[in-house]
Amino acid sequence: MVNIIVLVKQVLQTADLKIDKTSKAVVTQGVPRVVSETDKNALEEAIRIKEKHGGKITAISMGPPEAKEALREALAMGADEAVLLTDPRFEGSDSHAVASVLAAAVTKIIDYDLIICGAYSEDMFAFQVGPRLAEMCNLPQFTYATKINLEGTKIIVERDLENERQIVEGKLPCLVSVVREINEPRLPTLMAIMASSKKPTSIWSADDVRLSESELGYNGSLDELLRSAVSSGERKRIILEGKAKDAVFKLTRALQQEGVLKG
Amino acid sequence: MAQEKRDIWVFSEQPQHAFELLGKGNALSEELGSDLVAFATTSASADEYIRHGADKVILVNHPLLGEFQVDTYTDALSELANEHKPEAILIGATRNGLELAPRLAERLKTGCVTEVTRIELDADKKFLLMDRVTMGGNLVETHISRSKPQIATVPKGLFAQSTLNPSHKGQVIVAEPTIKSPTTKLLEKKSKEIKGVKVSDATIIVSFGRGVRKKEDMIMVEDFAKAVGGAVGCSRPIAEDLRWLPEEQYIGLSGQKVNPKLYLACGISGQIQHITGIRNSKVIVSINNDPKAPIFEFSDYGIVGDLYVILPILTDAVRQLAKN
Amino acid sequence: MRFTLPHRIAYDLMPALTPLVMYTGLSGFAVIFVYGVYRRFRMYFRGVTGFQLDRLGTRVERVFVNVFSQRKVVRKRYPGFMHLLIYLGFLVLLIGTLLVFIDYDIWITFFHQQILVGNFYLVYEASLDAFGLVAIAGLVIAIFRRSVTRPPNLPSSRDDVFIFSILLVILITGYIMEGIRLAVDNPPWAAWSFVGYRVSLLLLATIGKRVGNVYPALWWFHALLAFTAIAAIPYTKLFHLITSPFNALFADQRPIGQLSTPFDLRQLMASGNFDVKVGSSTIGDFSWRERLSFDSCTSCGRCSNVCPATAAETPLSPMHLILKLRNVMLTEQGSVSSLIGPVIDQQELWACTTCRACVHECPVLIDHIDAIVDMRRHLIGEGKLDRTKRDLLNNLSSSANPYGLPMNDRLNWAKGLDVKTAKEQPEFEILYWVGCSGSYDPRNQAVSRAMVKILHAAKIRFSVLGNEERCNCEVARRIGEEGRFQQSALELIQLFEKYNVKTILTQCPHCFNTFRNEYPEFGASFQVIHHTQFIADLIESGRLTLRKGTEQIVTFHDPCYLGRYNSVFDKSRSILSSLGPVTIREMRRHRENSFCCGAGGANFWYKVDQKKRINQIRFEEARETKSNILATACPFCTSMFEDAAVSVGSKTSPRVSDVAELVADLIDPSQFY
Repeated sequence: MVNIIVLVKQVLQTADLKIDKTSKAVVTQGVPRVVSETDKNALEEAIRIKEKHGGKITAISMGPPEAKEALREALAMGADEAVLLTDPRFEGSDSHAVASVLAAAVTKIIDYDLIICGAYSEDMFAFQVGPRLAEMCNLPQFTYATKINLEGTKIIVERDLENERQIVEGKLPCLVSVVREINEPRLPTLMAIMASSKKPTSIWSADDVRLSESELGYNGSLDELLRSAVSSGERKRIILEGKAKDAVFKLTRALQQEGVLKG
Repeated sequence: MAQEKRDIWVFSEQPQHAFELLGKGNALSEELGSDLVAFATTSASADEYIRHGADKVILVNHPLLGEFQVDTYTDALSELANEHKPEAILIGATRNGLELAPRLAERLKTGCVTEVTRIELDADKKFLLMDRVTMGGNLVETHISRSKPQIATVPKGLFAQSTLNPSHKGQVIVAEPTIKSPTTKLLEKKSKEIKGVKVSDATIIVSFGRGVRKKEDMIMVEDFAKAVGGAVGCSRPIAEDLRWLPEEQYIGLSGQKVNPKLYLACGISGQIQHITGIRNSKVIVSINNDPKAPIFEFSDYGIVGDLYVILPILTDAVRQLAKN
Repeated sequence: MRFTLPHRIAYDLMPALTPLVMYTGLSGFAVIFVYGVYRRFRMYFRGVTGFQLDRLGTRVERVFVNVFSQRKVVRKRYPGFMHLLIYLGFLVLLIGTLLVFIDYDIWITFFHQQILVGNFYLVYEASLDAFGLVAIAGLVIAIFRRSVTRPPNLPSSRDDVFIFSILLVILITGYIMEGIRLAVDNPPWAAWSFVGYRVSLLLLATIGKRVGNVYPALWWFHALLAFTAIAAIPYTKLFHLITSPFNALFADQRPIGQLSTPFDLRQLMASGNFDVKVGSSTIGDFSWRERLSFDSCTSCGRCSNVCPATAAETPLSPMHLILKLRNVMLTEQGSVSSLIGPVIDQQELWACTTCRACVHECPVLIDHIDAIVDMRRHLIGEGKLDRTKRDLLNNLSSSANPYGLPMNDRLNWAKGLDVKTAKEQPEFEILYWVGCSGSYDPRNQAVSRAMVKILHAAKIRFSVLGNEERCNCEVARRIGEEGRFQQSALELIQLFEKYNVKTILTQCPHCFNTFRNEYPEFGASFQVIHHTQFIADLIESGRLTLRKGTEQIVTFHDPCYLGRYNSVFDKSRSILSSLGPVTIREMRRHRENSFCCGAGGANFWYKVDQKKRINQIRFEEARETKSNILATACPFCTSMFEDAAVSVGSKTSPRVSDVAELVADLIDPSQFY
C-alpha cells in the first residue's frame, strides 16, 4: 500500500497566448485552462503505482477556483481524493510561497509515502516547486524520473540527465519529479470526468493550512517580480526580399537580433 | 559595521559551463568591486577556474562530492554560503543545476530565478536584475531576490566563456564543510549515445519537404543543420512515402510536435498538418520558391527562392558567423 | 390409349410404406434442424438483449426489398447472377416441393381434389425441370469461382465444398430419378419434363426398363441427402437462408448516418449516475441482434473488396473482422474474455474510415461500422490511447477544434471580408456554419472565402457564429468518445436555439451529416443544407449567374458522407455542368460506389498502420481520368488530395478544387451591385 500525493497545476494553454496589439497586454480571455502536461504524467505514474501496490492517491492543486476543473480531471484519471488550495491571499506567490502552502497542506494530510510532481510546469518552466517542497518537508528528491519502481519502502528511480541515464535507489517517503518520457497519460472520457464529481474534493484556504499573511503571496515571496514586458506577438510574416545573398544576409542579421542564432 | 563582501559565486558541475559563468561573473564582480569566487572539488579544476578569471576558489575535496548529488552539494554549498555570505550565486542550468539551485535556495531561505535570459545589476548596483521568459514566450519578467545570496540558474550558451589567462593569479581556499551521507544511492549510470538530438528536444531544427528533389540532395540540408547546430526534421511525405528519413524525424499532426527556438522550413509548403507540429517554435523561417505557399503565413521570416540556391549561401553565412 | 389428365404419381415406384418411413426419418432430421436453429439463436441471446419490433410494417418491407428481391446481391453482376441462379432455382424447386406436399397431404384430404393436374401440372413439370438446370448452372459457377478463379477475399472452406457437392448431387440424382420414372411409366406427357425425358431416353437406350430396380435405393439416397442438407442448414453457412431475412427484420431502423447511441447524456446528468458501461470488449457485450448479424456472414468478400482500408493493406478487412467475431461467438459462447488484443487488433479498429462501403455492399445487411465503433468506444473508455488520439480529444475539449488552434482565431479567415457574426446580425436568413476546417486550415479557408463571395453575389443575408462556433465533435463520436459528442451537441443546439436558427449552410459533409441525421435525436429542429445543394439551387433558380468558364475536363469525387451516406450526388454535377464547356469524366468508382479519400472515422488525425495510402490510391484513380480538375465537396477530401498531389509530385495531376471555388471564380462581378 503506497499513499501518494500528486501535485497538479492548472495552466493557461501557452500556445494560445497572444499579445493584444492595442493594449499591448497578454490576452488570456478565451485561452483554455488545461492541466500542465508533466502533471498528467505524474498522475498517470501514481495511478500505475496504485494499480500495482494499492493505496490512496490525493491530488493537490493550488490556484484560483477554476483549478477545480484540473482536479476533476485528476479524479477522472484515477485519483481518489482532491484538495484545492485557493485563497486570494495566495496571489503573487513565488515558488517559495507556493511550496510553503503545499508543504503545509502535505503536513496536514500527514499520511503519505510518496509525493509525485511534474519536473516543471508548462507555463513557468521554473523547476523550483518540487525541490523547495522536498527541502521544506525534509524529503529526499528524485528528479527527472523516467521510471519508478517500489519494493516495500525501497524506491528505485531511473533518471534522465542530458548526457546520461542514472538508476538511483532510496527510501520512502520521498518526492519524485517526472518528465514526459515516463509514460503516456490516460485520457479520461467525458463520462469519467462527470462521474468523478462523486469523489471527495476539499477546498482549503490559508486558514485551513494555518499560514499567516506574512508567509503568503507577495509578502511571503523570496523573489520579487519587478516588471514584465511584452515580448512578441503573432508571426511576423516578414518576407526578405532581394537577391539570394542579400536575403540571406538580412535573415542572419534578423536571427541574431532574435537571439536564436549565435554570432 | 564591516563592509559587506559582495562576492559573486559561480558553480557548475560541468567545467565548460562554469567558464561561461566565470565570464559573466567577472563582469559583475568588477562592477561591484568584489571577488569572483568559484566552487571546485578538485585542485586541478580549481587551478583551471583561476586561469579563467576566478579571484578565489573554494576547494572542497570530499569523497562524497566525487559525483554530483543534490544532497551532498546542497550541504556543502549552504554551509559555505552561510559562512561566506556571497552576494549572488550563479549556477549552471544543467539538469543537475536546476535541481540543486531551488533546494539550496530554500535551505538558505533566499530567492532563486531559473533559466535566466539576462542578468544585469540595477542602476544603484543594489540588486541583480534577472530576466526570464514566461507565458509561452510572450512575457519577459524581471526578477530580483529579496534576500542574499541571490541565486540564478544560467542556461548553457547564454554567456561567452571567460578568456583563458594562464598568468592570472587567485587564491585557493580549502574548506571542510560537514556533509551528511546522501539519501540516495547511485546504482548505475549509462552514457547516452549521442545519436543526434531528437527533434522533440532540439532547440534548433532544420526541416525539409518535397522541395528537396532527390534523396542525394538531403546532404545539403544536413550540412546546413550541422553548420547551425540543429537537428534535422522533415514533413510527412519524406518520412512516410519516400522513407528518406525515419518516422521519428517527421514533424506534423500525426508525427512529432516540436518547440525549438528556431525552426527552418526548407521546401515545405505548409499544409495545416505540418503547421500543427511546429506552432510552438519561437522563430519560424521558411524558404520556398512558391510565394503563395501557406507556410509563409505561419512564419516570422521568409525567403521566396530556390532552396538549392539559398541553402548553400545560408550555410556559408552561418559558418562565417560561427567563426567570428 | 388411356385418357387420363396429366397428373403426378405420388411415391411412384416406391413401396406402400414409403410415406410413413419417410416422415419418421424426416422428423429425426427435423429435430436436428430445429435443435441447430435453437442453439444458434440461443447463442445470440447470450448477448445483451434488446428486442425491437417497432414499425413492423417497414421492417417486413425491408426484408422483401433487401433480401428477397436479391437487390443487393445483384449489385455485383457476375457473382450476383450466379447467386440469382441458385436462389431462383432452389426457390422454384422449394415451391414445387411444397406444392407436392400441399397437394398430397392437405388438398386431397380436405378437398378430394388435386392441384397438380392437367395443364397446370404440365407447366409445373416444365418449370421444375428448367429451374433445376438453373440451379445446377449457378452451383457450377459457384464451384468454379471458389476453387478455380479464386477472386480476392473469397475463401474456400470445407463448408463450401460440402454444400456445393451435396446440392449438386441432390439435383443430379433428382434428374436421374425423373428419368427412371419416365422410362418406366412412359406417360404421354413425359416430354414436358424435358430434361428428365432426355435422361429417360438415354437410360432406356443404355440399360432398359430394368433400371427401375435401382429406383428405390436411389430415391432413399436422394431423400437422405435432401434431409441432410436441410438439417445441415443451421450448422453450415446455409444458415444465411434464415439469418438474412431475420437480420433484415431486426436491423436497426436508425437513419443512415446516425451512429448508435449507447446512452443519453441528458438522462445521465439528470440522474447523476455516470457509471454506465460503454462499448463492447467481449463478445457478450454485443446485442443479440449484432450477434445474429455476425452469424449471417456468408464470407462473400464483397465488403473487403470495396473497403479502402483493405485496399491500403491496413490490418482491417471487414469480412475477416466479422468472421473473427462470429468464430469467437461460436467457440466461446458465454465468454467474458477480452476481444481486443487477443482476437481483434486495435489497429484494425483504428484503420476504419467509416466510409460505409462495406455496409452498403453487404447483401445480408451486416453493419460492420456499428461493431467497429462499439469496440472503439471501449478503447476510448480505457483511455490508453496514443499521443495523437489524446491530442485530438484534448484539443476538442480545451480549444473546441480538433487542430488545437486558438479559439480566438476562429474568424481570422474572414479578415477583410464583409462577414457578420450572429451576435452582430441576429436577423439572418441562413446561418453559415464554417466548420473547423473552413476556419483554420488555410487550404479550406479559401473555400470559406469563396462561399462568402457566392453568398454576397446571391444577396443572401447570412451570419456566422464566429468565435461562438465550436466543433460539433462529430469526429469524437466516430472515434468512440460519445460523451464529448453529446455534450457538444447539447451546447450547440442551445446556441442555435438562442439565435433562432432555422437553416444551417455547411461546406462539410461530416457536419452536414451529423446535423441532419444525428442532431434531431438531441432535440434539434433546424434544416441543414450542404453547399453543393445550396449553390446548385441558386444557379437553377437564377439567383446566381455565372460567366462562361473555359473548357475543362473535370472529375468529381463523391464524398462518402454526402453521397453514400446522404444520397446527394446530382447537385455537384449539375453545378459543374453549368460552369461552361465542362466535360465531366467519372472515375470508375463514383456515386454510391465512390472510394473514400481516407480522412473519415477520425483517420485524418492519427497515423494508421498501412502499406499504401488511401488518398493516393484514389488520387491515382482521378489521374487516370486525365482530367485537369479534380472537383471536391468536402474540406477533408480536399486536404487529403492536396496531400496526395504533393506526394505524387507530378505536373500532369489534376488541380484539386472545391466546387465552391470553381463557382466563385466565375461569378459575374455585376452581381455584387
